[in-house]
Amino acid sequence: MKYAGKKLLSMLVTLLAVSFLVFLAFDLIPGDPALAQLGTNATPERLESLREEMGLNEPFLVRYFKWIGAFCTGDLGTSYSYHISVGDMISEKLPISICMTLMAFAMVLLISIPLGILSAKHEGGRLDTIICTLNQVLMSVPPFFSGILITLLFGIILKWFTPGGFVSYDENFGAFLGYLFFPALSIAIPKAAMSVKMLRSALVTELEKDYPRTAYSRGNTPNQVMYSHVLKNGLIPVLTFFGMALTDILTGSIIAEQVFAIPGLGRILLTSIMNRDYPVVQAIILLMAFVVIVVNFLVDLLYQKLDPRITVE
Amino acid sequence: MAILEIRNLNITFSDKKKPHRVVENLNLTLEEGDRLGLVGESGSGKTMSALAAAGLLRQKNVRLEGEILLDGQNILTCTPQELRRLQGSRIGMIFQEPMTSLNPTRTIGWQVEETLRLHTSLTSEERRKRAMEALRDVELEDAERIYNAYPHALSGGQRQRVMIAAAMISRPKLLLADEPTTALDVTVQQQMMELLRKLNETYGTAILFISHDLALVRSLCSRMLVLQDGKAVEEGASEKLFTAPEQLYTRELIEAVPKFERIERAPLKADAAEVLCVSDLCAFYPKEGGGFFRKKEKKEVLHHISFRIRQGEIIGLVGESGCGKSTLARTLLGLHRDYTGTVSHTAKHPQMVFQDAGSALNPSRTVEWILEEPLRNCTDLTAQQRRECVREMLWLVKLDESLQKRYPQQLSGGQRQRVCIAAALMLHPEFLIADEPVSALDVTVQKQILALMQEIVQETGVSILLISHDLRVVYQMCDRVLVMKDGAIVEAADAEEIYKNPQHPYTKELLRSAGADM
Repeated sequence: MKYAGKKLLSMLVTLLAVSFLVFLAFDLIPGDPALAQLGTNATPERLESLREEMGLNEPFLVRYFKWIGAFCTGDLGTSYSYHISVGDMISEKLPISICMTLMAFAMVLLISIPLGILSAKHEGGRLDTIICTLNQVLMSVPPFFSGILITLLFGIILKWFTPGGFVSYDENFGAFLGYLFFPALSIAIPKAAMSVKMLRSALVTELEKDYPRTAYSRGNTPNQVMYSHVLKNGLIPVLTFFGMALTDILTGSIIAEQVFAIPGLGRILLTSIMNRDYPVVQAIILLMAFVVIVVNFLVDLLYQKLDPRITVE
Repeated sequence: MAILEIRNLNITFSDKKKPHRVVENLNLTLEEGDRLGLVGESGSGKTMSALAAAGLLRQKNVRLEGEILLDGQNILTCTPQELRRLQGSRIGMIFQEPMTSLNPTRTIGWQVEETLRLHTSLTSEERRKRAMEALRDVELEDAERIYNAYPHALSGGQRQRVMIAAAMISRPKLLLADEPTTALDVTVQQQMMELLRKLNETYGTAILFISHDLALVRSLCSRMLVLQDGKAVEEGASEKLFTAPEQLYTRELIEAVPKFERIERAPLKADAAEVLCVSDLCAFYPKEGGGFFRKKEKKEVLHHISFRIRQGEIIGLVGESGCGKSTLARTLLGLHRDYTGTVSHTAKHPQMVFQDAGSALNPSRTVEWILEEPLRNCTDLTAQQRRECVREMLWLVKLDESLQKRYPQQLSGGQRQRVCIAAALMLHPEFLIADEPVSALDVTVQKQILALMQEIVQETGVSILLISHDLRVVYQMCDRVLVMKDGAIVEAADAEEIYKNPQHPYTKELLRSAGADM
């Protein structure tokens, strides 16, 4: 319990630090949100009054504390360009990004764990060589490129999905998931390939240790040795990577959303940066930081669950 | 009927197209309730034979020929299912490293019960009951706690007891013990031998005991079989082999067993200068816990240690693992800085020799490079002069000059330890700390290295602090002995005095475990 409290405190401190840096960064970047809204033809008087209205003339720290104070009460601010609540904008797009991230992450797990085990079991064999070679190729394909290839192959040639034909989740949930499948796959492939490689080498290392030999001496079959002895130990070092992969997928979805024309968080993040719509940008970045921190916390907890040698006080 | 019968066993490894025979034409028979010792140095094929007998040599590049009859069934020709059934009911096996031989992420109970879970239809309640019995059988007092614990929470001795409990839970007729006590402290070693004898007598389990330690085998086994380079050299009753060996190799092995016999050398000069003076030394480690704002608490691990070493003197430091020997060595060399008290060196370039020469040497550098390194770092010698020094040093440690272009992994264990000693001597130190320099070596090699160290002391006048868990080695080598327990020196006296007239009960216990007549 003491551990959870400590961890919570450090998470809050981290979030505050991130929020401050984000706010500072957008204060330092050249460009004026008021000017961006009015266009270059605006009169200096009009510009000045809008700056006053938007609160841009106040000192930096005053603006920061106003913003973070409102944030804590749940008011994420108002978008400069759309004049609607940032909270509403995000909560509308959030399910899309979450669905795609979870889908891609599930694919990473579903592809990499069985293939990693298979590869380790046949270490040095033909199957292992095929998996490793394939891995090497897939690992080096960036998601935007595999996205283009997938659109070409499954969208245009095979016509399994309609490129650009995104269906919103409140219209038809099944069709929505169906559309997300291929974008998710394009993000998942390189991550899955890396996971296979890591899991395979972790399992091979474990198999060479002494305790699998003990397990064999008790009359375990090779499968029993793999699943009830080696797998759990082999997953421990890969866990960190899975955590990193999950957060990478979330942030990496920005590109996939561009390639597949999906109106998710990444889309509004990009347009908001271009429009200097800082309230939206800050809120999304803070949200992503929050997810990264939470995922890391969960990985820590899982570590303890898997490895009895790790205890936290 | 014989429980284990090995007939004309050949084991061949076919690495890189070059077949390499590790066991040749081995025959042995083990009757029910027998205790047979399989003795030999590393590389003699004793572990391979045991693994083959347990059906555990399963790599593709191993070829097995001959017959291994386990309770009448040939395990080289039976199906995998039959083999697994035999493994789960007839044989139990325990290994050298109890820590790594246990699965770190499963509870002790889960692992002890495993054989029953795989091969019987007992309910979980019955299995638990049997596991508790097995844990009590191996004299683990706190069976309830240990059942639910994980391996890392136990001591080395407890872990080996757990391994024995797991191997014995299905009441096998044969227990294969591969160097089960080598990684343990001497006092624990004795308890483990007692336990094996008790289990053998209570349940009639035959034991095939594999060891490089002849004294240990003699204390447990009625018969023994000596292996050399994969071939049986001599077989017979232990006492007879020990007192009247017929083969030369057996005699060599027996002679190499460290005994309480001093290696003679010139007495210390009366006016020898002091090279090291330690007074009232306490060392500390940070305690677990503490936080960002709170200062970490410290734990005292060495308590008020004082001693001095004179030039040309060899001082022995004995004690069990965890008693603080290595911390003391690190503190003396300035590698551990959290201490109080004084350590004053007058010696130049103090150096250290480590236990595991295999991992102490950089695998990607040649012997020559390794030996030249201290000269490159600390002297202005030219390349030509450095090479000359290396040649002289190789001659001193009795290594052939041709070895200097080799890499450590191309050397034998004894050669590697000679390289370590040579590297430590390159700067002509006046003081050397040798931390268990021979405990990873075979007895015959051990003897050579100890003799070499004696010669070096004579020749160079270096002083040595020799750290060892083996009182016999210390007695052979040292002028004085410090006995350490729980971070404090409990007894310090001349080696002769310690042996003949030990004062502290702990010293007496160590002597007894080392096989001294008392």
